[in-house]
Amino acid sequence: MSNQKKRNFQTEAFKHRVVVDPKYADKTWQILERAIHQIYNQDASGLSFEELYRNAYNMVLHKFGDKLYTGFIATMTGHLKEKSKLIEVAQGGSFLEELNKKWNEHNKALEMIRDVLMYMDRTYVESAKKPHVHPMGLSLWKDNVVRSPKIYSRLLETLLDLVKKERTGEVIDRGLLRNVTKMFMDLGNLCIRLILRSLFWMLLLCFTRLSLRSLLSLVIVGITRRKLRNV
Amino acid sequence: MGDTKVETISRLAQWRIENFGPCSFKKSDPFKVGIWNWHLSIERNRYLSVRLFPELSRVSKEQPPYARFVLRVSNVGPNRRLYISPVYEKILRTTDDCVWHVDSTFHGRFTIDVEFLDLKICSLNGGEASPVWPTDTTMQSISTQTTLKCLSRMLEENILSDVTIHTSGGTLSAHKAILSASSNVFKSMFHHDLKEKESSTIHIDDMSRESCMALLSYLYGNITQEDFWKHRLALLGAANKYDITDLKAACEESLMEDINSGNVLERLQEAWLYQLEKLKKGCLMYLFDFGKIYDVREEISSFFRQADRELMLEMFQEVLSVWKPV
Repeated sequence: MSNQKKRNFQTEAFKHRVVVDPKYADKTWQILERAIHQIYNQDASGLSFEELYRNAYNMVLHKFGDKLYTGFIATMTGHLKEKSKLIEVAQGGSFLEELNKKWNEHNKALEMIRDVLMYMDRTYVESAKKPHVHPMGLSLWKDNVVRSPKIYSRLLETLLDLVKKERTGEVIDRGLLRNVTKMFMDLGNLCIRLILRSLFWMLLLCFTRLSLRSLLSLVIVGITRRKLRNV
Repeated sequence: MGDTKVETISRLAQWRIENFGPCSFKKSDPFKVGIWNWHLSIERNRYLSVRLFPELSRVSKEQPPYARFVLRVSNVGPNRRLYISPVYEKILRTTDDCVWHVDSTFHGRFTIDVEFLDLKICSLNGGEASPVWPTDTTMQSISTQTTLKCLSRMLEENILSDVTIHTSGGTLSAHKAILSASSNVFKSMFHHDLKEKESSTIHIDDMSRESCMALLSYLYGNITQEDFWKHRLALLGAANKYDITDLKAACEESLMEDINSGNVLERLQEAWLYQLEKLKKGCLMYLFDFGKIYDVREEISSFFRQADRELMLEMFQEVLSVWKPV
């Protein structure tokens, strides 16, 4: 009887032998890190969701949630820094397009990564009281791309330029403008307020003969934002 | 006199009276509507009095009817007159519970109708009356049973299955829609443009074919108690991995029911791994409050050698809380 009991327990220990390997966490993280690279390089179609999810799941289950969380932030930050450089070198009119393109890529990758790390989001992140993967991904984009010194001021100038162009009757890419505005909304209040305030003052200073209509529309945008924030 | 018979269809009962004749009272044969046998009676005095009452029986005594109904009297012939009662809504026990006086006399053939609008069994102890005709909930339960039968056939006969699951011991067929509706993990798996979506196959290497079949049976609603019992550890793992909360709770509940000194350490380990607070508490109580730790003295040393530090800490705190130095 005693033997029987012993065997039972040993079978269980065997079942979770995965943690016995001291390099287990590193090996598993490497698989996931490689996958994140592939996702950002849009080379993910050969990846198996089940395999990635299982690896991330097992890491968290065996108390390596911290390693997984910091690893994902570091890897994502690296990619965003790269993206930010690519946006910086974009010439003239293609700057905003490049920014928008990279933003869309980041969103798609972030959604996939969030789903692969779903178990971590549900357990480790909750108990460690850290930001969830999706808001974290957005805030990394804000810090590494939008607020990058070479991008921020240029972004404001470009937006301002677009407004100026429209005022003089030139045709502008409204779809692009809408997407970039949507990006600010996704990034949240802080970013919107920052951008709006800068834009507003710059507009006031630059165009003393600001048409009543554009001024009004800016004010309305501001009020709507504030209302949205209070909801 | 063949005119005491009442014909019924659906919720309508109709009594055709050929001729009142010389008598001043007539009572119909019993007729069945709902669970009761009913009678109609007519009496001629200053008015025509129509009564409706259930047959005196055990049913009408123990489960008296609460009825909402309308009575109609009309004569047949060229100058048809129709009298309609107000809508009654009352408990009917005796012959005097419902008497409707029609201020008219009828000669020759005439017809009395009862149309039941609603029939309920009155609760004698003050509770809510229960309907005798199918209601939304009975309909729902019929629908649920049908759906379960269909789901079960989908799994057993592979009807239009669209995904193959490779387990460590063979393949199984299932449906992306069912998996996705049951678990957000599967939903994401088939949402993104990754291997599973493109190839419609999943490789679940950490489950045996039998355990995975038990998981599918659970999701398709036809798991047997025996299979659940046999595979509950594997099901617990899968429920935790795929975020199927009801199944996880059912496994924890089941594992709580048969803790013994042969499995308590294994259960504690599972509870720790899957964060099952109730099971963990149960195991710790079994070991310390009930003193069964002395039964597993041999195993506990090997357990301590590999147990997680935090778990050890919790065990130690449990020891302290029950330890009462004399």
